[in-house]
Amino acid sequence: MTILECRGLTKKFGKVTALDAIDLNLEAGRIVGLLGPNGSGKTTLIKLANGLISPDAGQVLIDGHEPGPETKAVTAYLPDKDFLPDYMNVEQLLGFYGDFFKDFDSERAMDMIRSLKLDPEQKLKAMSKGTREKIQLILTMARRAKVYLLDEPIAGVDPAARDYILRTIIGNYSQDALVLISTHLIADVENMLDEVIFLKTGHIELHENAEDLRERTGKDVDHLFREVYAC
Amino acid sequence: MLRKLLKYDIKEVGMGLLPLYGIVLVLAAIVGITGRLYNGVQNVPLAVTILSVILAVLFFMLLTAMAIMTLFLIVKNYRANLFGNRGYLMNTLPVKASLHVFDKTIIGMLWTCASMGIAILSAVIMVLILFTDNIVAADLAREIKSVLAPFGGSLPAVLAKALLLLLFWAVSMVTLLFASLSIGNLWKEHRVLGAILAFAAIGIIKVLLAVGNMKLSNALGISFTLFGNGSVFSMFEAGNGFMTYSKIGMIGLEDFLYAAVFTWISCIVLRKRLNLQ
Repeated sequence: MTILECRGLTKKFGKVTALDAIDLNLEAGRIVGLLGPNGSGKTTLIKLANGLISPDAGQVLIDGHEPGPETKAVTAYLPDKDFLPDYMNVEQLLGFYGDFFKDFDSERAMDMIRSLKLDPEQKLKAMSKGTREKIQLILTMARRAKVYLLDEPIAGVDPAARDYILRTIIGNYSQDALVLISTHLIADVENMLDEVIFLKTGHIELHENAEDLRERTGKDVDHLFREVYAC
Repeated sequence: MLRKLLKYDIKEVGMGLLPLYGIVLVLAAIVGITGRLYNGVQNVPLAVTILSVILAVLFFMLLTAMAIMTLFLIVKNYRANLFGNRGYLMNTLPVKASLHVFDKTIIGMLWTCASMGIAILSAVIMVLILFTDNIVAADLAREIKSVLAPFGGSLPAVLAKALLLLLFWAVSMVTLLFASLSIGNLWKEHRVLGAILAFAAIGIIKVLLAVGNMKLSNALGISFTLFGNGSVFSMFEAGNGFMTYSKIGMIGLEDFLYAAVFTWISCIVLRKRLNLQ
């Protein structure tokens, strides 16, 4: 079942075309890697799906709806920014997510917080950057969403934190949900991907089942990525 | 959802303002007590006089700071939550754009009125502490009545008019601020400058509308108009007659019309032209 659909999706920033008439269908129950170098349009696509920017042409649909309150209720989004109110402590953040998202599982979030041995009373602004990123991930993955849009979840973190993040994603996403992970660190995520999308200067270069791709080319996704994006 | 949004926003703005309110009220009491201790005393020591002056200056500086902080926090609450990094959270909540704008408008009005209320309360505290020993209640009441007479008579009548006009002004000003910030967000860069220019442009349009409308109404021989209803103070000078309340009604209508347009602009930007970078 198609859960995320793009029809002729176009976004320009001044003279730069970030996405050029993208057509895309993604099904529920899949983990999809949105792969491409910086500036290829990955973040733009994810922002459009969240309604944080508006398309210049075409549309993006989540569960059949254009971005709005209905889609936001079923989409869990992890941006590549510090986006949480830093005056709140962990407990207050859990309350905030519980207040606004019906699908938020506070028990599951609390379990993850405990596993990290974090103090629920500690304010976000008193935490290290790495810990804040883990809290953001926990809050996102503790939702029983239909769509998870994760923008560069492992960029700029150390290898140990990367492992934690990937384990948290794998261990917590709803099995019937779509997980779209944007990254340029292919080797770290390759094994968890069902499908891969290569984005290049606003176009889809490739969209294929990861296993089929490896069989067809005899190469792993990381090597293919390096070939496609060779400078 | 509105209730939940309000809950978090009241807390966020309150964290900045409530301590300041406390300091203003305490300082008002201290100024009052200092004045009262030496009221009527001859040969007040120089140090005490200097201290009293410093305290009074500090009090008025704090009142100014409170006004600036109120404006700053209302603007920050809107801008940071909807167009800053926190916009990545707030704009992905399952909430309509219009609800965000209503929430922020209520917050803006609430804290504007609260700050004005605290300013009035601090003045009342100071006056009560300073003068209750020297003026008996009846004298105080007579004094207040004589002061208020030119502004339309009894205390309740003046207060009612002041509150109404304050409410109208606050709703129009807060929504204008938010519309300006929203228009500024349409700019690719220099968004603060964009917001300031939008604020100025809207101000000019309001003046032009008022002047045009007043000329038209003068030509038609109408005593008051929909736009440009003049100074707030003129409301107090004309007593409590039907004309005064009619004019207050027209001011309210004018401010609410503007507020509706400004709110519409903010909603359209949030819904159709959001541009988080």
